[in-house]
Amino acid sequence: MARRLAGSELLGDADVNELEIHLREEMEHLKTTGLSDEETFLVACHRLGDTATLEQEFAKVNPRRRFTNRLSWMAIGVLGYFLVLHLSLWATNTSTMLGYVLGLRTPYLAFLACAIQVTAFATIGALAWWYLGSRSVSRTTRRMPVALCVSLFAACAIVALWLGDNLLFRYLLIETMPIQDYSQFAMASGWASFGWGLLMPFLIAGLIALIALRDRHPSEVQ
Amino acid sequence: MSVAKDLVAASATPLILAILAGGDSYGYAIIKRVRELSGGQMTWTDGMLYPVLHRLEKQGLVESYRDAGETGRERKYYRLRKEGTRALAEHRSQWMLVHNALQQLWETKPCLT
Repeated sequence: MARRLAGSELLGDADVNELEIHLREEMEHLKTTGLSDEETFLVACHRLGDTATLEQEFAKVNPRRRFTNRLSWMAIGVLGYFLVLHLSLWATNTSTMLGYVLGLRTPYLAFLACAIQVTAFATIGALAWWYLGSRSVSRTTRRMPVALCVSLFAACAIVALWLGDNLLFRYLLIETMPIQDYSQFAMASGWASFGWGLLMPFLIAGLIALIALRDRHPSEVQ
Repeated sequence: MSVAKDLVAASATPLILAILAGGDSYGYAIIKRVRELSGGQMTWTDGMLYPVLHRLEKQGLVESYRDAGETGRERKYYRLRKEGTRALAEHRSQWMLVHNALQQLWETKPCLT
C-alpha cells in the first residue's frame, strides 16, 4: 500500500511519509490487542482507507500537482524522443564515417548504417525496458523532481550531441570528403533514416504498453 | 449507532480546530481523540483526516512543524493559528445555533393525535 501511494503522482513525499507514520502507529496500537503482524497490517490499511479515494482527496487539496506532473512527463517524452534521435544519428554518422575510412563503399556502407541504427534502437529499447521493469527502481523515482532532473539532463545531452554531430562531424569530416563519396554517404544516411522510421513506432508502442501494464498491476506490498 | 457520513464530514473541521485549541497535535492523536470523544461511535476513514488538515493549513487556519515526540519518532504536528481560533469561534456559534434549535424541537412533547 505504501508503495502504491509512493508511486502516486497526486501525493508528495511529505504526504506519503505522514500516512506511513500513521500506519505504523496504528499497527503498534493494534499489536497490543493481541493481533498477529499480518492482521494488524490488514486492519491498519483498512482503517487508513482505499488508495484511490485517498488519492482523490489529496488531489482536491493540490489540484496543480497532477497538472505539473503530467506536464513534466510530456516534456520528458518530447526530449527523450529527440535524445534518442540524436544519439542514433550520431552513432550512425560516426560509424559510417569510420566504415568509409576503412574502405567500405555502397551498398555495404548502407548495410552498416542500417545495422548501426538497429543496434542503437535495440540497445536503447533494452535499456528502457530494464529501467522500467527493474524492481529495484522505486516508483517514487517517477515523481516530479526526478522528472525535471531527467528533462534537464536530456536537454543538455541533446544540445551536446547536436553540437558534436553538426560541428565536429560535418565540418571536420565532410569538408575533407570528395563530392562523389559524399553522395554514397548520403545514400547510407537515407537507409539509416528509413530504418529509423520503421522501428520508432514499434519502440514507442512497446514502451507505452510496458508502462500501461505496470500501472495496471501495482504492487500492493508492505 | 454510527453517525451519518454527511454529519461526520461537516463536523470534521470544527472537531479538528477544537482539538488543536487544546494543544498542538498530530494526525494519529487527533483521530484517537475523536474516537474517545464519541465513544467510538464516530469513525473516520483515517487517511481522510490528512487532506482536511492540509486544506486547513492552506487556508491559514493551522500551521505545521516537524518534531520528535516522546517515542523519538518524528511526526508532523499541527498548531492552531489566530485565524483558526477565529474560525473555531464562528463554527461554534453556528453549531450551537443548530443545536439549540434541535433541542427546542425535541424537548417539546410530541402531539400524538
